[in-house]
Amino acid sequence: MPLRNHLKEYRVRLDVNQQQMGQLVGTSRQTISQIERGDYSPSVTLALKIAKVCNAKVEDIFQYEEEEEE
Amino acid sequence: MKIENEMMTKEQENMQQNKKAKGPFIAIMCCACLLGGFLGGFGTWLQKGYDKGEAAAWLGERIGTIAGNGLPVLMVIASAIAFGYMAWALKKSKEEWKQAQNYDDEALEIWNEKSDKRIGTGLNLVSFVTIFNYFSFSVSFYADIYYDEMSSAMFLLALVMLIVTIFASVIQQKNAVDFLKIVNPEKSGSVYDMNFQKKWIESCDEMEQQMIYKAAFHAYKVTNYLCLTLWTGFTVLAIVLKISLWPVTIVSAIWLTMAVSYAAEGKRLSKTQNEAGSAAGGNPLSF
Repeated sequence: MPLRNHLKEYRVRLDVNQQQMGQLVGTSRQTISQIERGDYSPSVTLALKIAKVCNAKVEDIFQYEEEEEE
Repeated sequence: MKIENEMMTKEQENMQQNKKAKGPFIAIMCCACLLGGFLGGFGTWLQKGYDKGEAAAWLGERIGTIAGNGLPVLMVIASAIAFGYMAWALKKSKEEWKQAQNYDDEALEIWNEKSDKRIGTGLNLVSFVTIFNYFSFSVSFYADIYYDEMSSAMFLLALVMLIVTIFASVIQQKNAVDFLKIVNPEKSGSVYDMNFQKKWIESCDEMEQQMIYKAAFHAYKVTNYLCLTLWTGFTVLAIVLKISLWPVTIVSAIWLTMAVSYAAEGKRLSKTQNEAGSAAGGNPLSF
């Protein structure tokens, strides 16, 4: 998964749990959990919503990293 | 010049990919031809041995009588297992959910995975058993009308089990959906609503929708291959056992409906979502 994120850190700063974070951005708790674990890459719309709620830029929360070819 | 070079590179890449895939493709086609030839030859050989219609009727009556009398009992057993498991899974998940209110995110995640797996298994079991019971009822009904050795008591049992299945599956799905709506407050829709599926999917977020679409596409692919297999089998059986052309007609109708609805939806999506259109283009079975 080439997309790394700092969502958990930003969420902790906001002092909300995954369920509350999901409600803030309009997704389920499971989706927030999957994003934090790096198992799911959100759409641009969702990434922008998350950034807005966290009062940060998208690239501060999400970073794209090229996968190293074997 | 740059575009020409890029095109040449792409063409070389395409050639390499085609070359790589061509070997297994030819092998599969050869095997399919051999199997088709064998089945055709075997069918012709069988035809010579006995009267086709008589053989089909004899085989049908034997299998139909055994199945007609046996399936109602299996309906009871399968229903008890599926509905019993589902009731237990919901009860257990509800109890754990009450305790989970004080959990932190990680503990909640572990509970959620366990609960999802349990309820998912229950819902799948209920779906499988519902289909099985519908089929079993048809067999018993047919056997009761056409076969002398079919017990009417067993047919009545099948009828009762069909009614039980219809009500129990709806009630259990309703209970599961109601519970999932408590756990996931963003979800909406009632099982009793005729537009339930539409409302439910609309209340799912993008990740959940993606999961549903991927699972649906997988089911579509599998059904396509199943249609091909059934078409082959029923064509051979129509000739060998004279089972009429109904089975092969029904399979072709289902196959065609899937292909047409897939193409129509792909075309509709391509007007609003370019990527969806290109992704949807092409039948997974087309060579």
